[in-house]
Amino acid sequence: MWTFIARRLLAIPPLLLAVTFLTYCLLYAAPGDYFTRLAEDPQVTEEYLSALRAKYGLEGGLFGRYWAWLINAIQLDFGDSFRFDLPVFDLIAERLSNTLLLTGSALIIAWGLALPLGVMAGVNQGKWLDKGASFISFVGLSIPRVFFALLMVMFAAVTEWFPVGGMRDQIYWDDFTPWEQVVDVAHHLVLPAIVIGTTSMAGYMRQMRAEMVETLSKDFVRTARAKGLSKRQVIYKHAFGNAVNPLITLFGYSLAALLTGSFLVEVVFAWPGLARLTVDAVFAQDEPLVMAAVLVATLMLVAGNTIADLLLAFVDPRIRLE
Amino acid sequence: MRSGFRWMLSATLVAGLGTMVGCSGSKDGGEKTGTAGKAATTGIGTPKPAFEGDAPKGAYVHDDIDVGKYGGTFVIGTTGNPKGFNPLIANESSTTEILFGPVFQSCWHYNNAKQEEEPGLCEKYVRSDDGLSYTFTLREGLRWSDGSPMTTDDFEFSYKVVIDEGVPNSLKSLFRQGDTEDGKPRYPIFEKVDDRTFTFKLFEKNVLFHGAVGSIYAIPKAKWQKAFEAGEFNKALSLQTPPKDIVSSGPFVVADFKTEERIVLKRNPHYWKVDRDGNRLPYLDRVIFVIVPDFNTSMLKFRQGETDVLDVRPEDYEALKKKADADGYAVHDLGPAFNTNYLMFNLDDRNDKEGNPYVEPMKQGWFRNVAFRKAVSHAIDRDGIVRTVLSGRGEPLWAFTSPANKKWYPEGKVTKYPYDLEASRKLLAEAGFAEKDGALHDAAGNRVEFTIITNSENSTRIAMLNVIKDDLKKLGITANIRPVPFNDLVTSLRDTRNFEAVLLGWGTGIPPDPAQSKNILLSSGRSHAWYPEQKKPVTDWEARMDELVKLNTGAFEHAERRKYSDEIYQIFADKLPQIMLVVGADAVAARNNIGNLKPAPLRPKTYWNIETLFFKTPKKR
Repeated sequence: MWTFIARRLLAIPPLLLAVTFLTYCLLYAAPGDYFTRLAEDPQVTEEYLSALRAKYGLEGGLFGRYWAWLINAIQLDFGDSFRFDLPVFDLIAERLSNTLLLTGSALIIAWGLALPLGVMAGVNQGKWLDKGASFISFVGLSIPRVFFALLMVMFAAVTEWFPVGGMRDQIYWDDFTPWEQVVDVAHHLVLPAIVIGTTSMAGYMRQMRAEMVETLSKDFVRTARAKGLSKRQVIYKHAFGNAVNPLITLFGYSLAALLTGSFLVEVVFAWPGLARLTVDAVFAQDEPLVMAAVLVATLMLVAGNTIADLLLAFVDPRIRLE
Repeated sequence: MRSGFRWMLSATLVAGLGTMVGCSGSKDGGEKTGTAGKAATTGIGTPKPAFEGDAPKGAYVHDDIDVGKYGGTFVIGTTGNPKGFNPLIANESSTTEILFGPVFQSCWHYNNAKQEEEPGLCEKYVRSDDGLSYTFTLREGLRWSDGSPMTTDDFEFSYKVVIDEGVPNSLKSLFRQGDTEDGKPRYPIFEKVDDRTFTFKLFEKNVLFHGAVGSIYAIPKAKWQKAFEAGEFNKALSLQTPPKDIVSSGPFVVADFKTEERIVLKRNPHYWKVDRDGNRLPYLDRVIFVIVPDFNTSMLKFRQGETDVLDVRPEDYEALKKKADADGYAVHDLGPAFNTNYLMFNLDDRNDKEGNPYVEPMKQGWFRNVAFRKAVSHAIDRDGIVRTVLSGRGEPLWAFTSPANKKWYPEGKVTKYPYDLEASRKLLAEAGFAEKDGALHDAAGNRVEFTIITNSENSTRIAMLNVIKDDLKKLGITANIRPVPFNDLVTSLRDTRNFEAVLLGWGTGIPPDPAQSKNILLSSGRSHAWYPEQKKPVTDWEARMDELVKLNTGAFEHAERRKYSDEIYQIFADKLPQIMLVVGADAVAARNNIGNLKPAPLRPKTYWNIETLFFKTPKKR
């Protein structure tokens, strides 16, 4: 197992090198740069633009610029964002926690609903409970997340039960007690978390149900029943334990999606998260920020996959990691 | 996992309760409690935070406003995130619209509603007869927001920063006057007369020089000199600077900031304006800029009552108007907007680096033919564009500048090209074009077909192009539309020059003076985009425009300058280097209980006079 982890760790540097270089190529190939849009203003002079480009290190060829970035990055200096004039890691750290709060809550909603519903649907295959659950999951799978998010914003706007966006009250935040602040964030969190949670729940639930149905028809289940075990024991001890394996892999991957899965919802709900920051950075060609965000996302993906593999080895004694 | 779900549910319930508590617990009473100071005796409420000391001796007296009431938090939605708090290097509107006015103010002020200049931190300036020397006098007793006195030294320091080579900023170009003998940029010389008086010595006349001085939003020397001398000025006043160090000269100071969430401003206790009763300004306790991702969210926030003002897009106008009375706000029509739209052909007949012409010579031939451009202009149904693209909220535009421009719009003096296909056909026939099988062909028998680009981010422009495409079809002209990302478009215009026609718009500088359009109008200008940076004017009319721009910017009398600018605009409309299309109708929405609201089509439309705004009744939430 330790060799497995070590191998995974060793694979990270070349992966990061490849990913960052590719990203840099794409950024470089995109026409114009962060300051190009200023050029259309008739008041902006050529001298000013070249002074800005020099200041932000936007001169020189692809390899020279990537090399400069790499050298600094190895020393953990990722530069300042063009858009904010702030060190990119301060920005990312602040946003990362916001995104994790949102996606973490969504993850809890998704899995907390998907597993019990999937098991129940699988056990009661063909009955009304199954049909009801199927209906919910089909709705969940077929409504595009953006659309659902927009519907929820409309809902918030019409009923005024929930805020239409943001992560906290933007006006009275300073007047709140710490407890009120917690409650306020929770209040803002409800709708976006439900949107992400329920849309991803549908897929997991279908998976859980399918696994359950398949497992219940296996020989060992029949044996267990024949031995005279109670239905409860058969389902929850024997069948569930076997059926849940593939979902654990899925869970690992959903950890990797913690960072990226919330993008559209963050935009619609004006959630000050990392996804929104990154995408805005891409559109604005804010190079240091894009590079750092890609780095963080890659690391999260690797970490998520590794956790998924480890979890799988943990629950399934047949799998050995070498 | 189940317990997780239950937690979420209970969080929802508690959250609901929490907001109710939040509602009833919110402050903003504005009840006065007999505190000392001038305000308490006037019965207009108590400012929180309070003012410090007395108003400056030379305070600006606002006698043209209603006397307001202290208190309240004014909330504005903004789609951009500021880049820093440094007024000397700020260049993006997301930063300047927060800093310029609310946080920093300058020596000479521009009134967006009257479109006139008025005194700011300086009470007056004197221009010498030859126009080569400007002497400004600061008001007496001015203080920075930290209480330290504001003097000539601060302005000298700020000017030094602006013209420093190591500090990239867009203000430099407003001051630059050619080069010195050793080839360095040359700037007017700053001379300190005394603590309140300073003189700029110019090398050549500059009709907008007082405006340039008015664009310097000074910062205190004592606070920032060290950073400047250490070569770290580019990091000074960044988003990480603690708010207490952002010492300001405007009605408010920065109190709190969170990227892409909000900026909180609170009253500057040393602000230098008073109303006619001697009450110190500003009336508002706090201003909050709420940062939203897009205009849709901005509109939702306004409709939910979170924000107090909103810039209204044409497509939202009707919907907002419907709910106005019920929801306690009003939609204010501001007349034509400043932003114009135009269609431009590439008239540049030079070759690229490989020796290929930028534009196919045959097409170049059509574009350079004034009759062709006029025929195109006649064929565009501008009323149709207004109706279909702008939801009826706009009007046709014939001049280079918008009718919103009170001082410079050449009313009734420019050629109009009303929608008239017969006129178009006649012009084309005279120029040797002929229609064959439903398609227009030039004298040599080539089919007339070209591509118009615009930026893909702007759906209004794309919609306009669709109308134009259909209109031109009626003449047998095939116009292909190609929306491209903005950066591609700028690259095409600036570097590769490989476009045939483009649809774009002009914004406006402040003040909206023809001198600000120099780079567009002069044949040597970089934004003379149909044929930029000409060594010598290519056409007679461009030569005449160059001459007129020089005359216009060389005179000080408005009537004289207006004569020249009228002729410039007349030539522009006659030769059509850019075919002006339409201007939208501008509107804003604002809560009914805001006093002294005087919205204007120049940005920031609703809060340019923020120091005088107040709530007529305490705000409820």
